[in-house]
This record gives sequence, structure tokens and C-alpha cells, in this order.
Amino acid sequence: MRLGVPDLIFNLGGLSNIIWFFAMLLVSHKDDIDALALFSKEDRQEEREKKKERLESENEEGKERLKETETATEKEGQTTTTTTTTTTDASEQSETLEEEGGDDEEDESETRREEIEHSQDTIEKQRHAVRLLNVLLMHNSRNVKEMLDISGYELLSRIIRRHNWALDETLLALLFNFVGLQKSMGPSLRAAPNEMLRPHPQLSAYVYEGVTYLLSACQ
Amino acid sequence: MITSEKTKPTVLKLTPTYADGVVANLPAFINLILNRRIWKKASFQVQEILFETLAKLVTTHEHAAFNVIRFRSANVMEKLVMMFQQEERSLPLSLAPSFITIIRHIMTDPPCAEDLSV
Repeated sequence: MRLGVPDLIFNLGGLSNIIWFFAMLLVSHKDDIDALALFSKEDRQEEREKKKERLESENEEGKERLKETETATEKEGQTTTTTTTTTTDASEQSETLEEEGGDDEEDESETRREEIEHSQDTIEKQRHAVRLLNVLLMHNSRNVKEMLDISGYELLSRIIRRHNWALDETLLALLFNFVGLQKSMGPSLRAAPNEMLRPHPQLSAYVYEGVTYLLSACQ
Repeated sequence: MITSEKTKPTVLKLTPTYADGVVANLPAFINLILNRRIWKKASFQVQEILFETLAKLVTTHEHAAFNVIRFRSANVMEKLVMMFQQEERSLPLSLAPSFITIIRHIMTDPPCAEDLSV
């Protein structure tokens, strides 16, 4: 008997293995997601500005020390050669500070870039895995039965929650696909103004009013 | 001089929803879509799309009656009320119209004892 592709996939090990694979996927830790959010251009700019300020303040401190030493040497009546040497030392110190600061910045940006690439790669893998699971469920009814037997949806929800998956629109679309719903563009039921996008302390009262109105209308 | 005031054209807000189809897979619907523990960490925009889709499924949808039956069997009413109770201060107000729309369409007319006991 010749098996079709879905049957072949089914015979490879069943859905339990795929769910296990989900759990073994390189998890996107919360730190990665935070790093993604933080690594915007503005944040990088702010960090650079902060570093510059810090370096400048350090340089100012060095200059003040220089001035103090200059005044001290003038009082003592020593030659200016010592001050020149101190100035050169201070300038060298400031240069080395700047170089060190620049190196640190580059290292940090490189590590962050790597983190971001890693987390983006992880998110892509997660999406592909969910798509694969959806295709398997669509093509074979035995997979659906197995999914229900092992309470696969519950496992999947737990994996999403525990492993801090990125909860974006793509994941929402993929999960709606499991339910049997596809994307459709249409006018919204209501247009919410921006001021309504913040949490509201009296939400329950608002909803309570709505529900009591409905109940009174029903009676 | 007559100042010509430019009237702004009314822009119809188009939001992507996932209302093409019916709630076919009830376990997936309960565990993946109605699971508040997953979606409470999502952005307001994603939450808005989620609840607007749910509201659309029971109002303007072609098979709204079927979806209402599925919603009732998934205990959506209970889940929503529990959500109000637990996240009173963290829920955005923009979700309230969708909640009310869903509750209004799930409730029977007249309301049955089960609805009132929630």
C-alpha cells in the first residue's frame, strides 16, 4: 500500500513528537523579547548620548585636576615642563578612555545584534512549527484525534505561555487558523479613540451598566 | 474674506479580523483563543483585534447563530465575567464595547437561570 505525504508524516512519529519538538524549540526568553523592544534606534541614540556625557564629565574632572596641579606648580615656582607632561598624560588618559568607551559600545551593539538575530530566528522557527502542526491537523483526521487524546491544545497553550512566545498578530492568525477562522478585512464595529486605549479603573462599572441595561431590556 | 474650511473626509477604519469561517474546533478555541493567561501579556492592539473578531463572529457574521451556540458551549460568558473580576484595573476601556456586544448576543432572551448565576 502506497502512503500519501500526510500519512507518511503521521507514521514518522505522530503528533506527540511534534509537541515535544515544540517544547524543545529554542525558547525565546523574556530577556530576548525585551532586548528586541529595547534595541530601537532611539534607545541606541540615548545610550550613546549617556556615554558621551559620562566621558565628558570624566574629562572635565581630569581637566580640573590639571588646573589644580598647574596652580600648585606655579606657586612652587617650578618649570612648566612638568605641567606639559601632566597635560600630555591627561590627554592620553582621555584618549584611552574614549577608545575603551568606543570598544565597549561596539561590543555591546554586536552582542545585542546577535541576541536580536537569535530571537528573530527563534520566532521564525516557532511560527513554522505552528504552521506545520496546523497542516498536519488539516490533512489527517487521525492527527486531530491524537491531538485531542494527548490534550495537545492545552499543551500548546502552556508552551506558548511558559516559553514567553512573542504574542503578535501572526501568532494570533495562526491560532485562529486552528479554530477554523481565516483573516478577513472589513470595517470595524466601532472606532475607538486613542484615549480609550489606556486602562480604565471604572471598566467593571461601565460593563455592569451595560449588562443591567440589557437585562432590563430583556424583561 | 471667506475662509474655506477643508472638511476632513470620513475615513472608514479597516481592521483585520479573523471572522472568515466558523468556530469549528472547540478545544482549540477554548485553549488557544479564550485562554486569557496567554493573551493578557499581548499588546492592546492585538487584544483589540482578538475581541473585535469574537464580537464580529456573533453579530454580523453569516453564521452568527451557529457561532453563538459554540460560544455558549465554550462558556464565554463565564470567562468574560471572570476577566472583569480579575483584571478590573488593567483592562483597556476600548475593549468594553466588544465585551458588551459579545455578552448581549450570547445571552438568551429572556435570560436563562444559568446566565444570571454566573
